[in-house]
Amino acid sequence: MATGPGHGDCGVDNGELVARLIDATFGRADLDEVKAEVSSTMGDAALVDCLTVIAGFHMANRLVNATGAPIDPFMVEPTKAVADMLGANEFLSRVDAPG
Amino acid sequence: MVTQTSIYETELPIRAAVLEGHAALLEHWASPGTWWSASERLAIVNEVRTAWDADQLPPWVGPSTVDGLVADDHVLPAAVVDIIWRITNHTSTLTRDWYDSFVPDQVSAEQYVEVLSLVSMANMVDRFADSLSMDRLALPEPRAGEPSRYRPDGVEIARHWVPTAPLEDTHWSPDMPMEAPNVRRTLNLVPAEAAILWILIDAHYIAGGILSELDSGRNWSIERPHFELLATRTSALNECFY
Repeated sequence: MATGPGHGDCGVDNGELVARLIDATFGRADLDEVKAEVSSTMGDAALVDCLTVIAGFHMANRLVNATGAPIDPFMVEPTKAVADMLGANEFLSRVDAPG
Repeated sequence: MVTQTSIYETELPIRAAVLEGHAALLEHWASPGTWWSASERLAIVNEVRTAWDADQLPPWVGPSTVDGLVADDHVLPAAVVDIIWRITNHTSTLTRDWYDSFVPDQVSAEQYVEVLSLVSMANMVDRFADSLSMDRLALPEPRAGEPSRYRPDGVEIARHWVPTAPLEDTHWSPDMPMEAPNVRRTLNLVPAEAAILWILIDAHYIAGGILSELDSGRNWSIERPHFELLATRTSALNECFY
């Protein structure tokens, strides 16, 4: 996977912790440990809400990647600003679903 | 009848919309579909679990080509099993050529879209349950009945590999419908699947897919920037450019 470790909180409250939670769901860290830290720092409801959104994107990412859905017109310019940073221009989904 | 209070054994504060959506999904899975029977639909969901829990194959190796991995009397065609495994375990490797290797020679576009719907939604609820250390949803018994074979008017290959129809989104303002995002169009070749998709996107993200400041604070314990971080990083790790 091309995505790097990220940079601090990205201007988001507890952003670094949330990023570590995402990574842990992909097996990049101990999920139980990170979940416990999210619960103690942000609360159980925030933990569940974060994992709710992550699960939703496991669905959406598969729908998009498996149908070649192109990026929406209103997202073309904002995406240009971050695609390089994320390594997203190297994704197969970039090649097969241009936008 | 599946009830939302019975689907997960947990004290965790899961939002009502999520429980309602997952309960509706169970009913949906166990009902005859548009192109697949209820038994076949539940077999597709089960195959997602088999694929996820199996030792990983390289993306280019379909499980139907490995001796002993897929039962000879499997209820699903071998091509469908291969599609399920690839979408489940190697979503970052899906290409137009891969799609064309199955559609339309081995499955119709309509059959493919319904399979994709079931696979994507099963991955969503299973990843949700797994990450919260809950048992995965118990599958109901299949209901009798034949697939409806309903084919909507006005579909065409436009932006996606699969045929889609123009679609307006009135979530944001019923008086000012806007063009729906491409992710919400992915399944509208099979309208019954598109309908449950909208329910699930609304439950797991934001109604209408619009990043409204108001909506992010209304029912959730996290704020709009958290949604964007969660969406961006999860999509990046799944290598989804969209």
